[in-house]
Amino acid sequence: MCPIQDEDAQNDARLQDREIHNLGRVLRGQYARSASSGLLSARAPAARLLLDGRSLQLVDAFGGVVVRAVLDQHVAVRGNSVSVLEPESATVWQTLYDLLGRGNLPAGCSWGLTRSPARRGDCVLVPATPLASDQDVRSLIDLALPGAAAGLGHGGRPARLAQESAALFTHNARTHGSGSPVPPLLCASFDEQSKDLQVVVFDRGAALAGGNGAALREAIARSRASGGGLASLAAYRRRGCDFSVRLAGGAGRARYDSRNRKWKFSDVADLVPGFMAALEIHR
Amino acid sequence: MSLKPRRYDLALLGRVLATRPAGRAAGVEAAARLADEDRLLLNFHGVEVASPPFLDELMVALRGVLLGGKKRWLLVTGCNEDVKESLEMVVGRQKMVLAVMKRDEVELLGSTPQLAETLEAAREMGSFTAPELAEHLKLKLPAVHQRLNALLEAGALGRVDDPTATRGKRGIYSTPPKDEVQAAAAEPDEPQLSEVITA
Repeated sequence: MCPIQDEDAQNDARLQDREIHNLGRVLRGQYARSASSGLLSARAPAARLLLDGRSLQLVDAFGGVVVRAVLDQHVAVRGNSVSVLEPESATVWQTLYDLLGRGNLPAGCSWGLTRSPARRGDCVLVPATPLASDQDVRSLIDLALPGAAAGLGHGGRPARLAQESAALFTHNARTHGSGSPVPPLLCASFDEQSKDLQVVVFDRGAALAGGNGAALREAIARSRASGGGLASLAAYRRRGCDFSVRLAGGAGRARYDSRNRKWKFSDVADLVPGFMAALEIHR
Repeated sequence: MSLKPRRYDLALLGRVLATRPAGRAAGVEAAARLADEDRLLLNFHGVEVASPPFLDELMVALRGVLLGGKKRWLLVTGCNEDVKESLEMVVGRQKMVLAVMKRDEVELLGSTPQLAETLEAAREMGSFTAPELAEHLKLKLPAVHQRLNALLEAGALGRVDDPTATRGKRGIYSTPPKDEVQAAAAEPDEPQLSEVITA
């Protein structure tokens, strides 16, 4: 992420004495996964961090967990603070505001207040939320997720598939995501662009952070051999639900498509500093 | 056999039952109840999701009790379409047969047409011996015993020794009594008000 070059911005008093990270134009899907590499770099930024979201044009559940992870990571250091400049686009502002829990940013974080709080939209089912305890997990997955899904017209089998994937991804994140500086995150949202229902879990554990496509292939093979959750999600087709499972860890990427019932594995340049598992239910 | 079946309500563990450790814990509890009572209604009412890993652990534990020698019955009830689909996958992988309540009748998951035919005949006959069933199905006795053993292992049938047998042991088989099963499935979780008043 590059410092702001705009002269007006540099003169803005709010931006003084802060390290500035530009969220870019797109924090959606693969672009969000790629951006996580720079936004969550190991290098410790200044105590006061500014995330500039003014140019943001597209954001989804993937972007939600990435931005929330930046907030959580930064304020995990005592005395640090983060300010987030709101997107100039009204619709993107509404979505980002909902994805980050509206006024419920973590302690030490604040909105830049360049805009009034957006009215609640109808895309976000569960804002990017840390999963610190069993109670958090149960209240989100048993109650919040299906209730919100039904309210947005995604009840029945899609809601249950979303719940199952959220539970499995969360269990894996809490089990295998050890060494993470912050709790794993869950976010569920309806993506306006693709019309997909997205469930994303992101953990900063080390297990697959340095991995590649081959490591993900091995992880799937182990899951299949032990009857694990990832393999079981992909094992059979849910009547009426076309879906994809996306995994990203380090340089590795994997995608399962229920329409052709195949996994595809690849390697990319941008490293995800942790492990991201997602379900996308296609409409 | 007219003892009231005991019920194990999985919804008390949560609406989403997804992980293998949770399945293992539930399996220990459910298996203990089945071992104690000889008959168990595995109730999924209120459960939205039961993932294959959870069910795998649960079924392994219950199957261990069913294969333990003493004849018990196990009936599953209250499954939504997704839970049933996951159960089908798990019983298929474990190569077991499972009896599931569907409305008022018992159907088999993981079954063959022959077993389904045998269970249907058992339902019609109510209580019977193996020779009686063999005559009804027009099959040889060894073939009937094979089918009966499979249904016993699935917990879809119960068996007691026939006290009137004069030569060797003979069993009397029966399907779970429909009215008792329905009553157990409909049983509220909270004690009845009258029980509270008199306690």
